[in-house]
Amino acid sequence: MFCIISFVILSILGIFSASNRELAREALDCVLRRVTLRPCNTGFDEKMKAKILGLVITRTEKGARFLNKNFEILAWVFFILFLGSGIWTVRGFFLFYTTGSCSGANSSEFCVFDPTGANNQVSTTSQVCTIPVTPQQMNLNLKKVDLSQFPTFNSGSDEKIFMIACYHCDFSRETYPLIRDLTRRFNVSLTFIHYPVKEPTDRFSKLSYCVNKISPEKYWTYNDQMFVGEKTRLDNAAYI
Amino acid sequence: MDISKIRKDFPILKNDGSSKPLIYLDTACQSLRPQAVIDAINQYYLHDSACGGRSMHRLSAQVTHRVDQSRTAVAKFFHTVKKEEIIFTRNTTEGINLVANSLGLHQGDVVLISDKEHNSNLIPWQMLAKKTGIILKIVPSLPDNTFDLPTFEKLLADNVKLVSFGYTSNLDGVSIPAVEVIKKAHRSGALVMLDAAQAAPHRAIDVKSLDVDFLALSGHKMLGPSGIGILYGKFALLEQMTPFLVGGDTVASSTYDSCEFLPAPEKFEAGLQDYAGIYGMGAAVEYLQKVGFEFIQKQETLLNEFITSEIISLPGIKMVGPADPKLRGGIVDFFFDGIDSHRVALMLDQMAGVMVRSGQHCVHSWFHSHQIKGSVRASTYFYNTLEEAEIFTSSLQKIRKVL
Repeated sequence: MFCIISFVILSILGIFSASNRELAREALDCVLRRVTLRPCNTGFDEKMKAKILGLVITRTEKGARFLNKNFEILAWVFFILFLGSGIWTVRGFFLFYTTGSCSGANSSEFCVFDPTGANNQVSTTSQVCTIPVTPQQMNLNLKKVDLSQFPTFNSGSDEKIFMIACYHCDFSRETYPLIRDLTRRFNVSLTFIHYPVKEPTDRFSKLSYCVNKISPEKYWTYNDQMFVGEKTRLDNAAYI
Repeated sequence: MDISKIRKDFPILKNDGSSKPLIYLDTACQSLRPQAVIDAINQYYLHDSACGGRSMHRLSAQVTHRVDQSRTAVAKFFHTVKKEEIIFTRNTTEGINLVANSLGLHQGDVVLISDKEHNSNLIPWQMLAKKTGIILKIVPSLPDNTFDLPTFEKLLADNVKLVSFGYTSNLDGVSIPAVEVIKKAHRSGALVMLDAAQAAPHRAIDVKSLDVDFLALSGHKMLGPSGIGILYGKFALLEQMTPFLVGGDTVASSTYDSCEFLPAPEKFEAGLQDYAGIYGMGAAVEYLQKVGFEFIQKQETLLNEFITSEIISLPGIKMVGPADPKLRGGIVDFFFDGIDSHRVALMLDQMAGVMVRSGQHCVHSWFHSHQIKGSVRASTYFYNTLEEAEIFTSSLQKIRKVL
């Protein structure tokens, strides 16, 4: 146990110091022996324990006594903490990759990779939005359709894509990322119209309308998020 | 002698305030070196870097002369009859091996050693017992690890050809009564070899008045360089011995079928020698003569008495060897029940820069026979101070409170 933690710590310290590199090699030898079920008879753990006690004893005798008595337990505690922080770190990397913030979406907690929180700004929720006309009441013939009320990405382009899709539709969810990729790579304009496939998804049409009305600059970020991950999240009010 | 002046002679002891303190209590392993010895070594490499005793040119002549000077200095140091009785070896181990393999011991010959010999004075005899069938017998020590003269006398009756004892034990600093041992051995017709690795740095040795037949020692324990040692042997005995390490410079001449060996010491000094080491050895004995063994023994006794008095009452401590520090020279050897000796040594170094030896000190046989895992050995020398001894004992007291 002690060898594993020592190896990790000494490997990091070994970046800056040759003597720690040597100790890291010893620790690795010990770790390899333990994982192959051989006894670690290099005396590494004794050496490190003595070094640590020697350091502590010059500052506090009581501390050294406590450390000596509970060395094994403390090693286990450190190991568990190390595992825990490792898992938390991996989680943070994953969340940063998927949501742009290591604390997850809609979190105001500090993230070292996004210190200003630019990727995770929480919009205000106090504004009122009146919906004059619901999309299903409109004439859906594109020739006579006034598309100006629907959100459009890169509206200046001559090449246009009109996507009518539903957040809850599996096919829409599969197609949307490809369409977005096209718009980015080929400077194509995309107009997105949410069409509720099922009645319970009607609320998303209203939601889309309001997001585009209140924060048009954030619309596409919102829209991308709606198509990412498991669609069961759409049923979670807290997530929305 | 002013100890602060002496300490200035040792470059490694110069504390410039930037590095960890250095309290060296491991002289029994290897001593520190004074500048004079370092200068002598450098003299060879900087100015005399050539073969000795071979070529005709000026540099070679210089080296030959210096080697001869060193041999003479060492011979004077040990009061030999002639300088040809001094053979340069690599260390005590080589000296003992030389005697073991060249003396011509046969099957059935008995060799006596003590029960606390360094492996260098145990393993060669074990190997010889397997190879030629000599009989190796052990003289047990008394319970306090001092020499058991009566038992030794009893064992002498058994066709003993050679007695090989450590003059001073590296385990506990106890010295044997060498004069009586040699007298009794000679009366029984046995030769005597003394392992003087621990004795030569700490006491004056007069091989003539001791009448010892062979004396082996190491330069690195008496201020000399690593890799140089001395074997003294009575000339008449050396002449009869056939060298076991042979080659260049051991022969006056050779044909394809035979060779004519040189007399001692050359016939035992095969190949190019460690000339820098020989230069350094000469400087080391001169320095020791300047310091004087009276001062050395006084300082060691003072330090040992202080250290012993400070640590004897620590809970669980067990001293190795007699309780009386006067019987242990500069060595304090101890262990704590249930506490790993290496841990104590590491902590002493980490806490206060105190350097001691830990483990079984190459005397595994003694530790196994007493079922002791290991001990901590502090060995002082004339360059150690009382302040250093205080730091050692106070650090040990702290460690004992924690472990």
